Amino acid sequence: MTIEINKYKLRTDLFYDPENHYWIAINKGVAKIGLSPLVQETSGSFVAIQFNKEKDVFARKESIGSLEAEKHVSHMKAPLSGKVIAKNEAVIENPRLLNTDSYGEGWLVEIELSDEENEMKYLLQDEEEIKIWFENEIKKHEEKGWIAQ
Amino acid sequence: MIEELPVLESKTNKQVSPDFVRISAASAMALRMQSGRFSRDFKFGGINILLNYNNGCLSDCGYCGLARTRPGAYEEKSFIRVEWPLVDTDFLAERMAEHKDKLTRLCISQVTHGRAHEDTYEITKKIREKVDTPLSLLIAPPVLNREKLQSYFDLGVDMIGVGLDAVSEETFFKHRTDVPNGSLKWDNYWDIINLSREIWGPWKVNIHTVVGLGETDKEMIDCFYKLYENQIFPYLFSFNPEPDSRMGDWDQPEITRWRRIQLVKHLIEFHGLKKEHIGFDDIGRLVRIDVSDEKINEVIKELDGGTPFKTDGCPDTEGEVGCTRPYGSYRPTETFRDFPFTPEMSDMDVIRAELKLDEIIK
Repeated sequence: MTIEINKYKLRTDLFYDPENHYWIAINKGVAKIGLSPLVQETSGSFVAIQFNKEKDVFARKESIGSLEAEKHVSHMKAPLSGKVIAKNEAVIENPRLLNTDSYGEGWLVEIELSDEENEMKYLLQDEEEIKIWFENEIKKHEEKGWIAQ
Repeated sequence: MIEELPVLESKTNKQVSPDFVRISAASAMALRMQSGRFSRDFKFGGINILLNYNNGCLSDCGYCGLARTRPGAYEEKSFIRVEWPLVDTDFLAERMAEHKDKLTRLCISQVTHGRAHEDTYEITKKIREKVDTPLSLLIAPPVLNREKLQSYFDLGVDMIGVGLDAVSEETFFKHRTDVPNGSLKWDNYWDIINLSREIWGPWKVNIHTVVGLGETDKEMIDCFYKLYENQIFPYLFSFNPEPDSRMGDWDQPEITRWRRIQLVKHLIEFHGLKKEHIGFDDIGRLVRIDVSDEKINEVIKELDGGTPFKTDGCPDTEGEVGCTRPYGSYRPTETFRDFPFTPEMSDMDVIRAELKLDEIIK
C-alpha cells in the first residue's frame, strides 16, 4: 500500500530510516535499501556512486560509500549493522536510476543483518509515525529552499 | 567585416531563444525551478542563462560540451558537466523578480549562432523590464561588431565577458575548428575585446582564461599582464574534462600548478607583483616568486584570507563576486578549485598543502 504526502509516495510495506532517509525492505534477515523520495529529489541528479572497497561488514552509521549528485555529495551510511552482500550494478552504471526509479531499479545495496533484534527500534513502520516524520522533513527541506516551488 | 552566420533553425520546434533559454543547474536551484542543494552551505544568487537553438552552437571547441561535433543531440548535451534545464524566458524573468532579493548577478551566455545577437538583445530587454540586478553578457565574437556591442551597452549591460579560453594563438587553434562562415579568427576575438574595452571603459570587460589547455605558465601569466595593462580582468577557469568531448580524456591541471597560478594572478592584480619577480624555467613553468618586496612577502604568509582562491566572476552591487558558479570546474567530491565563498580555516590548510610554496618562494 502507498500513502501520498504532498506529491511524495511512501510505501507502507517498507521500513524507513528517518536519519538517513532510506526505505528498507526486510526479508529473512536481509535488508534491501534505497533512497526516500524526498532525499532523492533534493539531492539533485545523481552522477556517481562509490562504495567503500576496504571492507564489506559495517556497523550502523558507518559509511558504506558516497552518493554524488551534480552539486552535492553525501555519505551512504549503513542504516543497520551487517554485511553488504549485494550492490546494485545497474545503479552504479546509471546513477540516475536513484532519481527515476528509487523504489524499483534504483535500489542501492542488500545487507545481511547482524543485529536485527536490537536495531529495528531505529526504523519507522507505523503509518502514523511515518507521516509525522515525513511531513516534518518536507517542512525542513522547504525551509532550506531545496524543493522546487 | 565578417559575413553573417547562417540561421539553421527547424521551424517545428518553437522552444528556442528568444522565447526559451537554458539556465544552469545551480541557477535553477537558486530560483527554485528545480529541487537540489549544494554540499556546503553558502548563499548563491548568480544566475547563468544560455541561448538555446535546435542546431546548437556553431563553434567547435574541443573542451566544450556544446561543441558542434560533440556526439549526441544538442538538447541532450551537458555543458560544464551538468544539465541545463530549458525554461520559458518570460517565466524565468517573473521568477527572477520573485527572488530578486537574493540575486547577485545575472549573465546571458551567447552561443555562436546567426540569431544570437537579436535574441540576446530581446532577452536582455525582457529581463531588464523585471529586475535591475547587474547583468553581464558572455559574448560570442564571431557574431558581433561595434554596433551590436553598443546596443548592449545602451540596454544597461554593465560587464562584458569573452570566452577566449586559450591564452595563446597556438592553443586557441589547437582545440577549435572553424565556424561555418570562416569567422573563427584570433584577431577577431581581440578586435571584439578591444572594442568592448572602448565602449564599456576600464575594468568592465573580462576574458575567460582556462588553465589546462596545453598553455605554459608563462603564456598564462604574460596574458594576465597584457590584460591588466589594458584594464581588463582575466577570469580564471580550471579545465574540467567534459565527457565525450574531444578533450574528454584530458586531465585537469595539476592542483599545485592551478593554486600557484591563482596566487600569482592575485598578487599581480591586487599587490602589483612585478614581472621580473616571477621566474620560469626553460619550458615556461613557474619556478620562482621573488618575495624581496616586504608587502608581497606579507601577503603570501597570510594568503589574503583565501581571497586568491575564490571564484573569479562579475561583481554584485557591493563589489563582491556575484557570479560564483559553484562546482563549475570541479565535482562535489573534489577539492574546490575556486571557492564560491571565503575559504574556511580547514580549507586554507588544504590550500597551503596544495601550493607547496616552499618550492618556489625565493
